[in-house]
Amino acid sequence: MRIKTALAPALGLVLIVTFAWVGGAALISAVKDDRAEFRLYPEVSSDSFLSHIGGPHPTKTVNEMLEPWGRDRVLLVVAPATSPFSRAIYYELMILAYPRRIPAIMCDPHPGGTGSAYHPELASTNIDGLIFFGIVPGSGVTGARQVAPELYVAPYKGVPTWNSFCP
Amino acid sequence: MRICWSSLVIGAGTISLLSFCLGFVIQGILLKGMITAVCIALFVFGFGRSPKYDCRAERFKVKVVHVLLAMLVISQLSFVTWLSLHKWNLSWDGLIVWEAKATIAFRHAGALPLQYFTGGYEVSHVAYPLFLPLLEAWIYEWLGHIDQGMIKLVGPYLYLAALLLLIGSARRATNSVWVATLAVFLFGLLPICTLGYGSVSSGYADFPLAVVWLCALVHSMEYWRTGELAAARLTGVSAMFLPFVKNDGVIALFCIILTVLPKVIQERNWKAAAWMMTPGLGVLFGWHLLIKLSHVKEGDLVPFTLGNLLAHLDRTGTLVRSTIQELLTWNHWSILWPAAIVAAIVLVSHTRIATWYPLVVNALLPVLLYPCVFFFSAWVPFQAHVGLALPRLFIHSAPAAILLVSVACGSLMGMGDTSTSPNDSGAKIAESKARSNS
Repeated sequence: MRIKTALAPALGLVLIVTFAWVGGAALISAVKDDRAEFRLYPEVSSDSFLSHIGGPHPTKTVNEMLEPWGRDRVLLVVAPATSPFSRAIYYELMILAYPRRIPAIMCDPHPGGTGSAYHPELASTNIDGLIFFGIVPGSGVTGARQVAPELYVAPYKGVPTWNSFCP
Repeated sequence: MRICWSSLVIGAGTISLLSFCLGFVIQGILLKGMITAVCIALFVFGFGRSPKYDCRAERFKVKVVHVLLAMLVISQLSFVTWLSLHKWNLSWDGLIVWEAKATIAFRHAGALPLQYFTGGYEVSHVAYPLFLPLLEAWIYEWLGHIDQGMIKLVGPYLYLAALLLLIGSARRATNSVWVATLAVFLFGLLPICTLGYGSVSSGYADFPLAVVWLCALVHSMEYWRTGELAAARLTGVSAMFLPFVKNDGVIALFCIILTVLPKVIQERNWKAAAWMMTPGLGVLFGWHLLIKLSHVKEGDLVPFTLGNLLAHLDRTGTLVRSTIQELLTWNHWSILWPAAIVAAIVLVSHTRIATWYPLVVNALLPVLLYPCVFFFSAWVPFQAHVGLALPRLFIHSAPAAILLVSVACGSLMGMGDTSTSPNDSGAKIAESKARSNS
């Protein structure tokens, strides 16, 4: 009984000290290894997602780019499937462009490839504009404007074959 | 005081749920005004009904332990606030899944439009519930603009709520401020709750679910101790938000129901049962009805049928290995889970059922239930889904596990008294007086 009475507090102390030692070491190590440092401003997270379009304030750039288009417009995004950032930038464009509908074509790197379409149900819908990420618009696209180092926008009217915009 | 700290959680949940329900019919200034009016009305109603002796400032001597506790709370809160604002951005889920909904709601005058559910936004997981996004949209409404920096303060706000709930509950369970201090201390040393995906600083909904679950647990423990209808009501109101934070909240709701069921059946207190179970089940049913009517397809899980379970039983080995591996990942959890098992054994053998049963069910049962979700994973390979999601799922029951470990360590070290309830204390005093008179 005396041994039990002595062991119980010892067990409690061992649990607490071990927990604190292991957890504290892991936490300090995790904080030290984390080199990220973010400023505090309204578009900090979406800027981080859109950073690969280039430019100092990518979210503001995208919002200004989208402004001329009405809420019921359909804008096709054209991006390279080979870029690891294409998907993230497309998804963030979708959200910032709400309620406009934003289908996309991720261009196949192989010439003649079909690419992968997002929202293919809009394939027969009239497209009102084109947004190019990481791809320079071909000569067939008139009125294209560069809004950021890796982002172009162009007006369009018609029902195109989406992968016709791929290089 | 426990009720005051719960208001941090219940208030946030009320704002989100009201935004969702009222948003179908009103938006803009009217929605904002109505929600504000309801919150103020609830505060006035509660303040008026609260027993007056609870409101009087009680004189107490400030002891070393109180100073230590205050310093721990302030330092931990400052730390997680700094992490949230400067060290972590809203990462993938934080931005694309949760903040995206807040942005869309803000652009729709504070309410999510029905078009969002049918407009092809599956990338942001339309079927996920809306506690966090609508709370963020509420902040945007009052700021007047989208501010991804300010909404990072939701994490520290809920972290404060968690600390205060831990303090109140540990103190109530053991009559010891030292055990409450221990609970706060250990909670601050859980790396996965502080930093990383799903943590307080990440903008994910896992930590908010953990705090809401803790709130429901605290009140269910009070119900076990006292059997009072007020505790049952608060359990029900807190548990109501569980399925509205994440779809995983259904497991949390199940655990809370399992927690209170034995006491309800023993006492045949069906009114308390109705209070505790109906709100949560109502929200769960209502949300899933909306998703079904919107024909939303959620791609991560296959339907929960016996056929699918039997077809994927071969995943058992992988799930057991992954679970054990995760629970022993010390740089996520320290020694929380092995300590929780030891704590459960200690409490079961040394304390009343009212103390150990709620804690053991809510801390350890999820460890068995959560891995079972992956029998229904639609991912190919499913192991990728397990690796990505399992660590975050265990965050949900981590505060309960911390409470379990703290109460057990307090019991081992002779801090406080888990063998009596406040009701028992009165009887013991009367008994000792009677003995001294005779």
